Amino acid sequence: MPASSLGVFAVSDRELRVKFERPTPYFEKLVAFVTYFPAREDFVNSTDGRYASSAETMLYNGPYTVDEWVLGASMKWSKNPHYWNEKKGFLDEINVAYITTDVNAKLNLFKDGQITDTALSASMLPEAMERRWQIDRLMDGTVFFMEFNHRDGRLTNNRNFRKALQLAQDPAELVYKVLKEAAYVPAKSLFPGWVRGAQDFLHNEYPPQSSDIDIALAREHLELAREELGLSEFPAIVILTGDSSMGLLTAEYYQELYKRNLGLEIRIDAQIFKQRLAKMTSGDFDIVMAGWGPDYDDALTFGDLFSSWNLNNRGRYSSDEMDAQVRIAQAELDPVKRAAAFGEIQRLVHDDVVIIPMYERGVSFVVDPQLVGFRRRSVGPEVDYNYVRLAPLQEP
Amino acid sequence: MAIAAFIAKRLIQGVFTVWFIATATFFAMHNVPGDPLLNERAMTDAIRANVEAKYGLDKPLGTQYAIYLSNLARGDFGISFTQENRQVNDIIREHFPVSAILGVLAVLFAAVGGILWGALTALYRNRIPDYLIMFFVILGISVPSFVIAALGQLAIVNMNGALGITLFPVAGWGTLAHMLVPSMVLGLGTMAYLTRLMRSSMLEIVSSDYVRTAKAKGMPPARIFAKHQLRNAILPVITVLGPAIAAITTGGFVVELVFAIPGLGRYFVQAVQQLDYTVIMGTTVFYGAFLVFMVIFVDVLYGLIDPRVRVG
Repeated sequence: MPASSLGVFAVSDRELRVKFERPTPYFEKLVAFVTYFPAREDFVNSTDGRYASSAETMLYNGPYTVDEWVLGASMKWSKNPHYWNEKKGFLDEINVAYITTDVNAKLNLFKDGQITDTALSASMLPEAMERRWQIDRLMDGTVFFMEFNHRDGRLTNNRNFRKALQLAQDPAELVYKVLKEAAYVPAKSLFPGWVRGAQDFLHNEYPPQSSDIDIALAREHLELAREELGLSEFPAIVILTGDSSMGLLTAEYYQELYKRNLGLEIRIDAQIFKQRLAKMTSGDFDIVMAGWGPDYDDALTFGDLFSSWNLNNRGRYSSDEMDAQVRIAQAELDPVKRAAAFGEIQRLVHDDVVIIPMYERGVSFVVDPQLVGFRRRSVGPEVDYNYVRLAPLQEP
Repeated sequence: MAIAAFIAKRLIQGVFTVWFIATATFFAMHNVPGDPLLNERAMTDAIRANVEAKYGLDKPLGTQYAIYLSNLARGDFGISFTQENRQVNDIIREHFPVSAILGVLAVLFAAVGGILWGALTALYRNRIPDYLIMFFVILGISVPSFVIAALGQLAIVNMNGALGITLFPVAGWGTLAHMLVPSMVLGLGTMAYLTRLMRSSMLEIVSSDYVRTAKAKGMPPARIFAKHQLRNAILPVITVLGPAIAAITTGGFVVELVFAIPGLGRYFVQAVQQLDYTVIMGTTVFYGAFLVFMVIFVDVLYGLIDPRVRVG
């Protein structure tokens, strides 16, 4: 697509004009999404194809500058002397001395006083409490669910079959008795609890439909599905999942649960990330353990997921009713009517059992008490040092 | 001059070996299930076509192979799939030296320790020092490195906590203090293995005719040990040292992760999990060449130590 047909014009050095195809009430949220950040063409071209791959080839305008970046090892930031906003950036220097994905190593570094904050896995919580650390929690924004394959010819294309699976499970059991991660909460809907409606949280304005476990009713739906499909017996169905311990644990839980409650045979197909995506895209599954995290801070980042045209709708769910509601949510300028559309989407997802919500992921973490104003966020880059100050050490 | 001809011959064989590794990896990788370009967020066909063109994946496999070989001949491994805009050459150049230093220290630790402990166990055969050392050797062989690494780190934290100062850094890279514990952890398994090898090789020597003759001549035991026993017993150890250096340098993944060391090991492993074609190819071929070179190097070294195997 030629850039001229994009409808975005730089009127002057400091003025941008955007022409909309349709009303876009969430546009200001979109421009805070990293993908929409502008890049300076002359600078990008001057980096010889290495844009943003080192401290020298990056361009930014935040409260800190990146002085040193040894990839995969360490970073040094310092206060940006040209920064315009005096309400951000109070530290002279931030030394990201260690970059590792090993949570145990990070815990050891924290204990040794080398780093200011670290995430805590469930097994670390008893020790953290013994040491009387201040433990915080953040919902990282992502909701996990079982996504059905709605393609023709699939067992999971049958609504009664999906309804049976929905009625025979309770996400609270999965979260509290199986996964036991203190920062996770059972998911009630496609929309996580922190998503906002018109004035309040969406869940307060449009409470999620109840999902109480009812095995007798589930079996009735399963029997209906069996008749509709003309089967004497259900063949084994396939749950596609990642190869992480969490993914396997979840899949094994449902395998056992549905065997016990519905007498269904389930086969677990555990794959590495790229192969799981390939199978999701080609439709080679009945149920897939999937998740969705927010791109931008608006309910639509979850709300449009099951429109028939969304490429991330890998189960190929398609309904005119859903599409109509998504179109309203995209273009309605009245926030109340817009929230109503999200409420309707939430109801459709539940009633038509597009997915079965499992849990909202959270992270437990500890921050050095000397560090004030440290934030973690559900949307966008998670860790935020913009408002961090150092508190004077208090004598015990 | 014979030695030069020998080296030249081995080098030509080496190039052939590396070509074979490159070809096998190329075709194996392209047959692994999964699509390297897929990500959480789906992309439209137009974007996909652009990205495929950028990485040359739009061409037939045979053409891709030809392009790949010609780039390889010029020493160009291409750009990474997952770390946008990073050259694989840069990744290797920045991170291999770290792995190499870690590896060399680990091998030094393993070789010196292994030869020393192995010789000791043989001299004190079936007595207390022998049993004690062999107990730790079995431990070193059977306990996996991620356990030893985690325990090592925990020991540092507890020691620093007890002393109230940071004697050894918990993790990171830069000074010799950073390197000491990780390289010991990394070298421990090899040291245990070398100790066993050295022990059995030494036991053979201790009861050999020439050692008995030396003793009969009235040679001082220290001189017998250094001149006759050690030099002969060390040969099998030298043989496995070459592959051991390569194994240690490439096998540092766990240690690098636990101690937050910016080595090449984690790229090697992550690339496979992420199907990052160019990084897989780059690191595999590079390590393959490294291994081939180390084996040649050891063969030459072997000739210097033992005149009997000197070529020509």
